Amino acid sequence: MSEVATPSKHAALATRITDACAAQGVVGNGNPQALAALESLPYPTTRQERWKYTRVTRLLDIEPQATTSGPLPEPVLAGLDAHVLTFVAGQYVDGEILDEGPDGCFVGPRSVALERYPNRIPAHPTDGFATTEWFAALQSAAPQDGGCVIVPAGQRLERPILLRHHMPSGTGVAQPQHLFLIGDGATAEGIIWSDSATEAAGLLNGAITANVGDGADFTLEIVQDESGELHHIGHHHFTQGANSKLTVRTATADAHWLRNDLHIVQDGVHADSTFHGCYLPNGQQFVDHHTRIDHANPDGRSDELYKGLAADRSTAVFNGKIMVHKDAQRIEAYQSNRNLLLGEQAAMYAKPELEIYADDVRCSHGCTTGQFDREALFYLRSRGMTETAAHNLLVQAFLAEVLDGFREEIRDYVHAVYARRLGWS
Amino acid sequence: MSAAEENPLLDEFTRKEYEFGFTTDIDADTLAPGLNEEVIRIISHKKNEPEWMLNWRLEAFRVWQTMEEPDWAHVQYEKPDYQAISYYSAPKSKAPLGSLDEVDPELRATMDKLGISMEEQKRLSGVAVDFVMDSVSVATSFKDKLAELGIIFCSMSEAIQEHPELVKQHLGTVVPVKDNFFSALNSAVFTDGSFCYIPKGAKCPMELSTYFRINEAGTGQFERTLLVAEEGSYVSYLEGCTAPQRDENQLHAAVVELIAKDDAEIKYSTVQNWYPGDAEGKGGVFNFVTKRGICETRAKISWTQVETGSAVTWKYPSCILKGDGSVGEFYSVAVTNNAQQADTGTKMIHLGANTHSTIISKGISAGNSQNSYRGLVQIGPRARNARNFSQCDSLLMTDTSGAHTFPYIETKNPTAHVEHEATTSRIGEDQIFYCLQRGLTEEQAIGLIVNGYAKEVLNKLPMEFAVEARKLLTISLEGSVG
Repeated sequence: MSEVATPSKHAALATRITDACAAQGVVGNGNPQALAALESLPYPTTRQERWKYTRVTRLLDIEPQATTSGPLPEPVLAGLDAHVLTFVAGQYVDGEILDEGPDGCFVGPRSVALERYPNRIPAHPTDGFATTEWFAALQSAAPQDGGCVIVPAGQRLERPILLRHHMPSGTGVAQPQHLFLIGDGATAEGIIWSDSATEAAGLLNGAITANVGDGADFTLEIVQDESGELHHIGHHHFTQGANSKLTVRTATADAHWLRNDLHIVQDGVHADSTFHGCYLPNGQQFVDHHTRIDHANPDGRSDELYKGLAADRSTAVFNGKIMVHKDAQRIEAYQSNRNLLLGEQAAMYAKPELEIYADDVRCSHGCTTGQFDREALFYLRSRGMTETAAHNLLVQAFLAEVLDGFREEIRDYVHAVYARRLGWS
Repeated sequence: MSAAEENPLLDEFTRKEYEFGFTTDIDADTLAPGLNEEVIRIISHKKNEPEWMLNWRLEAFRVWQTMEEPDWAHVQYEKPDYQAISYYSAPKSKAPLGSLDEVDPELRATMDKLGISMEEQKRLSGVAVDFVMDSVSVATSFKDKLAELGIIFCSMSEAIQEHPELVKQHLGTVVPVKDNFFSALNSAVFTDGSFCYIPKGAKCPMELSTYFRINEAGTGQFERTLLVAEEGSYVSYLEGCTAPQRDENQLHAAVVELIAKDDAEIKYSTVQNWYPGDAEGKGGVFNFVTKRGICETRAKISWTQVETGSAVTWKYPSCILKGDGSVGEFYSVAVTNNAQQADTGTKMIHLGANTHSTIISKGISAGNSQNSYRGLVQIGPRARNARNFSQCDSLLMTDTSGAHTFPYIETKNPTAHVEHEATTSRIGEDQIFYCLQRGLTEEQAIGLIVNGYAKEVLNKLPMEFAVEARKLLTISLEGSVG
């Protein structure tokens, strides 16, 4: 199971990627700490606990090509009334910029925000992983453009924000950085949409960073619908203030090779986090969801639900970590991971972890991997359904618990993608 | 009013010392510290071992030299200096022992203190005991009675002399030399342990028991246990351990191998009570143990452990469910108090079809201790209709202790059903209140609640052990509620 990368090979990869990103255009300066970390950090191998099931040796050979500017991709969620910003390969191409001045809301690309309001946004919106994980350091060393949403204290954005990132054909590399700054008591809803061309075969090493202020309410829906042979590593980092409410839903509709690292830090008391996700790899796809929540303050609550199924010869990975820090008392944390294995050669690796350093807590996790419920299947078959139809209905019912949480447009879209891929309908 | 006056019982038990912390003043034959090929040759020579055994040890030593001490466990400790340990220490006996009556009187007194009065056991409980002190087996009881059934129960060194073909055939087949750092070390330097062979169809009529004790200062204990249950046989095996109180850390790196052939059943119970170090975490035993069993068709291996001792525990009794329809079970109560650290759990490796496994793990953390469950459930591609159920509960007694769960669930067969659930909570104030209200003291209340919490596991222990384990649980936790 072990793979060892020679130091020169991954150093060369880092140089190729940072050069390619610089050639396409980066936003702001790279994070100096991440740059330093990049020099010293080892390249992930399956001998490292966090990369035990995720092989990244194949990425060492990526030769980033300059992305050609083709026609704009077809719009997504066309019926949805939202601020839409479109990015292609880490560059801003089109969208509706909202700028209410230095004290108001701002929705636009990060490049524009940095130009207009350099003091309002952090220079390096990254997380602790940027100095401890090789790919996160790489992203932070050469961050490209992405959406920037600033909602000042007490304000509310009525329309949702749709930040769409598209990877064009070829072996291009992009490292977009999306940023949400939700002020104290503010409310906003965001959608991050990631898709790619059918001939895409490069690397998307992107980051989403959100700082949610005290008493704020922020909902983010992440949709990953990537065709082709794109490799995607996502670094999703959320910091929550006291009494804030955060909801993150991630739907992996389609992905050739995907690793998501979701990290939530409850930085204030009485924070409430909900994070749900679903995935459905088939063929030879690989989908890996790593999540971690840090209950760093008392009286927090978290609810995690990840459901998925692995068909054909695909591999799904779930690793969820609940970390309750010392003195973070009266925490309620629930984690649930349910999986269905449908393919004879499919594999599911689950690792639901609890690390608890406070005593007055209520934490639980449950994890199951299994098959269809035989009795349910029999019931449907006895009502005259074909076996395929019965399977499909059960899969839909299984995923509904997660999918129904999304806004209707997204739910229907993801459902349609799943239906197409598994041959329902 | 001082705390002591307020609750004299609590005060007494908080200060309660490790009751097995005595040393026995016996002449011991101890090798100078250090580890090299010469030391291994000396050990092998002292044991009068055949050539193949020496070569096996030397090969293990070479492998060990190329390995690194693992650091993935959720424990922190200063790595032992392997050159500062004495790898051989045996109570000096004047002549080969003919019967139990010839055992050194000092040693007899030790056994009595530990509650292993062989004579009494012989008469009353019908438990056959093998007593291992500082890695050397000093006495085995009931041997003749077992021999009538064809059951071999003796020390490992004796087995190497008298049943070399059986040892050669099975040693290292379940835990290969290269398995891990500590198993390689053990393979190179093990000095004794128990060997048990149950012939085809035999049901062992009594519990077999081994008692391990580290006595000499500056020594490590490296015992090796091999248990072979032939087709259709049954055996229940108990293991207990204690060590004297010392300021330094002592290393215990044992290997236990169980082989359950077709339709055989092995029940292996451990009550581990190595010296845990003092309240500040000084001293105590490093318990780095590899235990694994292999199940052939329809065989069953059941591990039950009550872990209350050791400064640092690194232990994962595992089952390889190789044969179709085989069953693996793991029942564990792990208690950590003061500065103890435990990273323990199991591995259930399902290879055959229709294999079943159950994991029940109860962790209790008190004082400033850290208690982790780490378990692997692996369903191989050919393990059709495999089933696993895991439950890992943690109980926290203080706000300075930690309880952690690291399950690994790897499924490669779509017909498998794997369920894992874990909860972590504090000892219920309402439960304590209820008991207090009924006139129980807080200590009694905690004892009652904890024993109830661990009931599922304690019930799996053989009778004599269950009583001891209950007492041990209560003593380990007394005065620990924060």
